[in-house]
Amino acid sequence: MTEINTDKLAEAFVSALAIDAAEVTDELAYSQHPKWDSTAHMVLVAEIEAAFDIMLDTDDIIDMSSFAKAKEIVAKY
Amino acid sequence: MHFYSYQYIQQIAQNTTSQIIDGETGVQLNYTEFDKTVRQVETVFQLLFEQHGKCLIAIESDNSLNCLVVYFALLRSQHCLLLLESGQDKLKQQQIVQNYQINLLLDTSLTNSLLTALAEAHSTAQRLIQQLPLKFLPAQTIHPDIKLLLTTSGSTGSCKYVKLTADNLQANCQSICQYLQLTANDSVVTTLPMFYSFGLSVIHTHIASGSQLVLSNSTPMDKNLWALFKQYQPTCLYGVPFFYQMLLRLGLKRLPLQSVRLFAQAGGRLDNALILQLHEYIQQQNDGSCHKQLFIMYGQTEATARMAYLQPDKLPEKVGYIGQAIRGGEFKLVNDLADHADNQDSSTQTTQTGELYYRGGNVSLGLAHNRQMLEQVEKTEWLATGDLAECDAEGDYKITGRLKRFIKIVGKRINLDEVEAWLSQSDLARNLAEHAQILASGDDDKLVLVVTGKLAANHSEQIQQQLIQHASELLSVHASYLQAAYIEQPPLTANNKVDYTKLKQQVLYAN
Repeated sequence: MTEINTDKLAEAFVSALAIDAAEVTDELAYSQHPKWDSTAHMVLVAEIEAAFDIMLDTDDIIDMSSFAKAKEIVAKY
Repeated sequence: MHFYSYQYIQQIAQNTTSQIIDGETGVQLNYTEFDKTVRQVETVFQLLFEQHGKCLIAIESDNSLNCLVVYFALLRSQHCLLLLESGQDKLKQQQIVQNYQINLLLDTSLTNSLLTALAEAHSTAQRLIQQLPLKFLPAQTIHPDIKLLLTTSGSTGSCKYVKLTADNLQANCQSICQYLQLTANDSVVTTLPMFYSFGLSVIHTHIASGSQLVLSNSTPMDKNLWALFKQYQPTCLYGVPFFYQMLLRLGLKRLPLQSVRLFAQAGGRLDNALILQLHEYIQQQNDGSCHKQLFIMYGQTEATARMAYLQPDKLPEKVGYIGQAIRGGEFKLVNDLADHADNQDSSTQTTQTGELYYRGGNVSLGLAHNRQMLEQVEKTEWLATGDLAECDAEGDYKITGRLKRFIKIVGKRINLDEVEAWLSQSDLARNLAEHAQILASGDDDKLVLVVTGKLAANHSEQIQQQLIQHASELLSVHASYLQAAYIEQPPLTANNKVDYTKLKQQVLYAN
């Protein structure tokens, strides 16, 4: 698996979910954190795509249910 | 005969083999079993409030079988119901409980324990109910016609509720079933919350037609929703504009939507470009053997849910239109500027414009913001929608603007005057200099907040940031839909009122 810039990914989470950097851990999960709802998820997808200059796939958007998962997914591109 | 009555459901049960399914727990009931459970809950509640007359019961509602059973049981009771959003901020919920002097609050855990107790023994459930804390008794009178209170604005915390009658629910349910031609062969997986008038109408109409109903709280961003689609093969799909934006972003062709014959959209205006994309996707799938349709619809909670829909075969020509009033309803345009009409050559005009008014059996008894307002009802024949519309030669309507000061963000209605009032009471406003003011304006999906008055130059940036953060939390709206600005002197209209249209333009089109 290619190494990805985790800091850049974390930044996307901080800005899309409007949360503190300290809250971005592997355990941060969709619909568990009050700020990570479907609206924020759409914003997050856009932020990640812009930051890494990629286009996420349907399945990947739906699968991206935690920060840990997001690292795995982004690494595929 | 109302669609939730014992007689009606019994009749439906004889003509359907469909199930009502809890998508999360997997529990299924056929219509006979559903009705039996509803009746059990009914009898448990019968003794409660016996000596107190008509009471107000709030249900913290999520799309679960337990919640649906309790809701139906209480619809059949003499009491008035109010649907609360589950997962709502507790402070906001408390405010509603206080304002409306809610006599009994059935939160989700209570609803679940009630159904669990009932499964054990009737007496266990009865004991549980008799121990419930009843509040605000003796209760203030509720008008006999009010059956259900629904919020106009989702989770923005507004205390405004629409007063609906049993006949409102029945009239709207019937009209919708008729034009969507729902049958016992149809099937739906819920994609809208039950406390929201559109979501509730989906549940009502699918039960009234005896179709398969799969209850789910999942969004398109949840894997679980698509697992339910694969498993239950729904024929109907309903969503607000943001829902369809998500589907289009995910890619319609990659989603398990093959079984869907009816795509329906309401809850605000969907971009013409997106309507056309959806229409094209649906047309591509239509051949001799299947006939999929897209319904663009229009409504308001003040009209129970639905007022109009566009005939699917009028797309793509009439993209942007809301079509014509549903059966049993009627539109008219009221033009206050009628005297100006004399100056125009009306003979050459094929369209009329004005404020859109609606009448029909689904027009509610008006709005309430507290318990006192449940004593009285306003029986207005014509509902002023607050929308400006035009009507073409074929009788199809198109919304062209809005008179009332509200916008929609992700389908949630946000009252701009309320936002101003809330923000002006916040700590943030108190720390501003005297004469400084916070104004709210904007378009759908863009709330514009403007600080006015004299501020120290370096102070304004910080205030704008705080304002966005505060408003985002207050309204439960993502910060990307908010924009703040500082304008020392806001533009004014001829009669010295804030010119909100100009204000919005200054901010949105500044760059």
